[in-house]
Amino acid sequence: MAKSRLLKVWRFTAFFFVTFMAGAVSTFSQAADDSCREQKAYSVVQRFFRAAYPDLPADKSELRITVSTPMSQSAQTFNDVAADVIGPRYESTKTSGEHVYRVETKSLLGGRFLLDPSEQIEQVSIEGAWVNWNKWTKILRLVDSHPEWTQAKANSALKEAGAKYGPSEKEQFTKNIPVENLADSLGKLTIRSADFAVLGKARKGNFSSLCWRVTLEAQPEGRPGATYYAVFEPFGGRLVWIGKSPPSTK
Amino acid sequence: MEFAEPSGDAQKQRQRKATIVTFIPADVGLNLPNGSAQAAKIGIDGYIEPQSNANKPAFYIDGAATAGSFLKALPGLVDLLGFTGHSIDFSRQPSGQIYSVGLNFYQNVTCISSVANALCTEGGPHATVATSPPSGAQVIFIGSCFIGPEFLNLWNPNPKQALVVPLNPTSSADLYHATLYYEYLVTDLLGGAKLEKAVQDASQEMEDHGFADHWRIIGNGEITSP
Repeated sequence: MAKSRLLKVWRFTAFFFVTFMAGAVSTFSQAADDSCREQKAYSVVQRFFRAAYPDLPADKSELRITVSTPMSQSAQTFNDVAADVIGPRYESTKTSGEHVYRVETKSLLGGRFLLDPSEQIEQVSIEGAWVNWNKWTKILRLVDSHPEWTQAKANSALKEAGAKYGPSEKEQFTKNIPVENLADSLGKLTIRSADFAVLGKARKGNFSSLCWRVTLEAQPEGRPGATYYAVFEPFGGRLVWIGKSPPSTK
Repeated sequence: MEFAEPSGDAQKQRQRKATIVTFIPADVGLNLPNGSAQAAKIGIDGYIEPQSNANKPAFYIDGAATAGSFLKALPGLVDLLGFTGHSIDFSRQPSGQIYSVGLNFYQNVTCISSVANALCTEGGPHATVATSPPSGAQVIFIGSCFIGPEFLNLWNPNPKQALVVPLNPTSSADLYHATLYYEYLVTDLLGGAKLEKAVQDASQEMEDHGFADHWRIIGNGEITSP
């Protein structure tokens, strides 16, 4: 009964998008305040981005977050949050007789955050230029199109494409994992394992991963310890996915 | 007469690992921005890969996720075959109520439908019409919109099989949430839960996160992962 009522609400519900665009979009470097729910979700996302990507041009970027909740219900928490970091605005000039000025923005990162009911990070996936998304997915497509390639051939293609952290750069890669920075978001972190993903035996479909898989043990203050699985791309060794294990609130 | 002692860990040798094949033909980030098929693959893979009782999962995303590759994977001995993507929708007259008749694969060029239609016409370019395609998969998971009787006509699970679908005969599905649900379901199954329990647990997770998506099993809820 409760289920069908919920479904009815869902069916006729209009999504209420809270998009922090003008007033609520602060600069990426602005301090966050937890005084309301929107700001709590905002500060969780902001803290995570700043920890995972400390070299982001924070003083010249904007963080935009989007959440959705049924119009008919008051939001208890924001658990599904989309976030984008927009890079510095710039003007380009076209000189064909006269100057044309345009203001443009460049998306650096796009992320999707799943927060648990207490609005702690449960899972994050990241795409965009800052995590070398296009370079990485291009080489994945190339390897997927060559099922006859050996692991060694795939590794050398990765190197040729400019990857800094291939399977033989484990030491350099692990030094680069931002464990200390991420402690602020996830708790004190210890690296349990770091392995470069090998190609699947069945060379069908999208069988290549070409990434670093890292298992992290987290010991957050005042909360139970947790295991996180993480995936890092091989070009800059940047985090592209992290998920709490098991993916459960229990 | 003496038998030779088997070498190695006999228990490990006996233990079959779960085979999981996943199709994600489209981006899953629709209601909110961000969520490519590749990002969805990374998340699902991120949870399956560390499990010792599962084979390396197989994925078909974007252009590799075609009706042809789905129909080829379907009869195989697969423990879990997942699809998260768009449906092929008709409109009921005169109510205008939308209902699904099939699965839409990459960029609308291939599909599987219970009835012939303009998008998926038998013999048409890139189209595949399949009615009750033979399935060897123990569990088929479908994360798609408007799943009602017309869509379910496409599937005939035998008593040893099951279909897991959203409870959404008159509404769309949030494909990102469907991906999250799939992750909860897979992790619970690989953790040893029966399908019925895994579906309940995953539904509870959705509710705990404030998501209104509900799911159901059609067929055998007693299935367990090997």
